[in-house]
Amino acid sequence: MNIALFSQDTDKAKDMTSMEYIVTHTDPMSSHLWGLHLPQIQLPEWLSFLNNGVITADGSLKALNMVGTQNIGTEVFQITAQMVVSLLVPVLILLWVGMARKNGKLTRSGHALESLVLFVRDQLAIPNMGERIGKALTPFLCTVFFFLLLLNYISLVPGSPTVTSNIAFTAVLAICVFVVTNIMSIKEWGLKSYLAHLTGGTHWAMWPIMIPIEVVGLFTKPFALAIRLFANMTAGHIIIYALLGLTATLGTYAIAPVSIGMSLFVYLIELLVCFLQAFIFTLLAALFIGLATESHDHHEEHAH
Amino acid sequence: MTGSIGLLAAGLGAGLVTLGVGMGIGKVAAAAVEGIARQPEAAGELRTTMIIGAALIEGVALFSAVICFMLTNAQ
Repeated sequence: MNIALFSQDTDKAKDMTSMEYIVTHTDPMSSHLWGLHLPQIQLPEWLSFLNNGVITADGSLKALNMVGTQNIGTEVFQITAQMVVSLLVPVLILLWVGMARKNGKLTRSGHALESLVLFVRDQLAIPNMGERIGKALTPFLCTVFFFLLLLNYISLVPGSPTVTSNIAFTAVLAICVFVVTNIMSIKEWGLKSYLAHLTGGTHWAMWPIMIPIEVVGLFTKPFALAIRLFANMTAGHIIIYALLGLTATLGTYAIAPVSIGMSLFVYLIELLVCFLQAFIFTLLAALFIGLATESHDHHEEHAH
Repeated sequence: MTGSIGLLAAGLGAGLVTLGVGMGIGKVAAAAVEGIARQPEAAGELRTTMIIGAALIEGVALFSAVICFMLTNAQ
């Protein structure tokens, strides 16, 4: 994806069209978080591969373009708002868990936490993955679910960065799911049976056709997971910003009530979509792991 | 003419995507409503299944939306 879509001049106040308003607010390189100015760090030479921003000639910060030769200026490591929020969310989850019990009894937040964890275990993990693997992988699914849930909901606070609208974050989560799927599959079936499943049980002459198709099919599922979450979050926030920026686009104040009303409506839909996308990610992760680890013996057994 | 055909393509693409998604999710919602009408006791499960189906179909639509985003930057 062209990173230039997300690079802009944060520190210039100017009359903005709606598109520019959208671009400035979906920026992964924003150096402000909730009114705080986040620092830039000059890394030593041997760590310079970690640099993620470049200060161009007119003093503005742009994202480091990995392809192309447009990076002219000093490279810096900017602590972005998305980094800080994505480190804040696990702290919030741990605080929530810490508030769950008082003198051995569950508090109200503890009841909320328990209902969500039991929801993940009883509706997502065990029906899709069976008893044994379901109970073993519930912590992984809970991690993914709570991380995505809190990230999505924090992005709805005005002025917050949307971490899940960064394809890098969703891609890393999808890679985690991919790794867990394949490791559980190899553990359950053994390496030879796992590789034999890539051929699909056909005649050996068909293998040059079957194996590439199966390998591609192995990679498309996590890829679709990443893109689904990324596109949903990005599109939702772009719609909100576009509707809020209608006043700037049309140039009159008369459109303001309509603009606020419509963006409030989309905002409420976003509340549902945030929970739904976290739920769908976790559900599909459980489904893929269940499909990858289902035992062959269950095809013959019919008695309960 | 440099970027404008990209913008035109993005606009047409987004419209077509919305058409497809509208038809697809419409069918899902129609089937769910008919199921609830036949058997109101199963309303909870049908509602959950409908939401899951709608989210998955929207995921496919947003793949195309991502391509439309990329087209707006074409030279």
